Amino acid sequence: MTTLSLCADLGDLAIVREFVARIGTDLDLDADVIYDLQLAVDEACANVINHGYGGQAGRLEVTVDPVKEGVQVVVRDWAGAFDPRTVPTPDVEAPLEERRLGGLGLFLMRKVMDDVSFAFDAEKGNTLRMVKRVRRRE
Amino acid sequence: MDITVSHAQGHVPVTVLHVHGDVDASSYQDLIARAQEVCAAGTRDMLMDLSDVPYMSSSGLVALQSVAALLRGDEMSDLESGWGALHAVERDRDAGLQSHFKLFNPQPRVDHVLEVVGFKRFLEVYTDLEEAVASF
Repeated sequence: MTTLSLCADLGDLAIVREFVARIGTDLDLDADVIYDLQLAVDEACANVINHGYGGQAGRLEVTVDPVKEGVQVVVRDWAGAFDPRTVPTPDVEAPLEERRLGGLGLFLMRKVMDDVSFAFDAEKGNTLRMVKRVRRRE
Repeated sequence: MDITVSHAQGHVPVTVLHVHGDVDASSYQDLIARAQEVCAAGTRDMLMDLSDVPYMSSSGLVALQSVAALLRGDEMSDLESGWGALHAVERDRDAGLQSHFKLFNPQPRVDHVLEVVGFKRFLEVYTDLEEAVASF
């Protein structure tokens, strides 16, 4: 298990992406898979920092693990409970001028990862678990 | 992320915003602010060069959407352009394509994200600079 602990700061998103890239490289993942993992984790962390903590100080943990079906990423925070049902689904068919801002981050996470699930526990905080199925190189 | 600006002449003057580095939640507002600056200085047609952007998150997409709106809004508020400008905006809406804001040479992974969110149906993407400038 490899975990990165950090303060909730948008300026640290690049550190998060580098962390994911390093582990992905260690796991011998394709560059496209690493990019998808970076995108999903970046979106998750940005959501927590912007919407969970609302720009205030807070704690954030990112854990990346190889699992049987591929790679699992867990993002944990201790902001208030997050309910993904409150996030509007963006209309990606609509012309640009008719689109509402927001919701694209969660949309992209679900698009590039195979499983995305949220859980809230009063002590453990919000836990976002994402799995990307990966065929191991021979 | 850094942004440099150059100018090219097609059928109309075209401002080229060259974006260098990742566009994420920490930097996308800088991109919008720079676009606002050049629009305030008179830009009406903009090509955004994404060839040196290795990574773009949904925040970057929000920036593109905002810049597209900025350029549409500038034209709509330019009453001196008269009915021609207003009809041009109507044509944009009918076609969905943004005629005053286009993209140049996004890297394959950024291009894929643009595709996934449906932006490429509304933002023209060019890989040849001369062709891109001439398209305005």
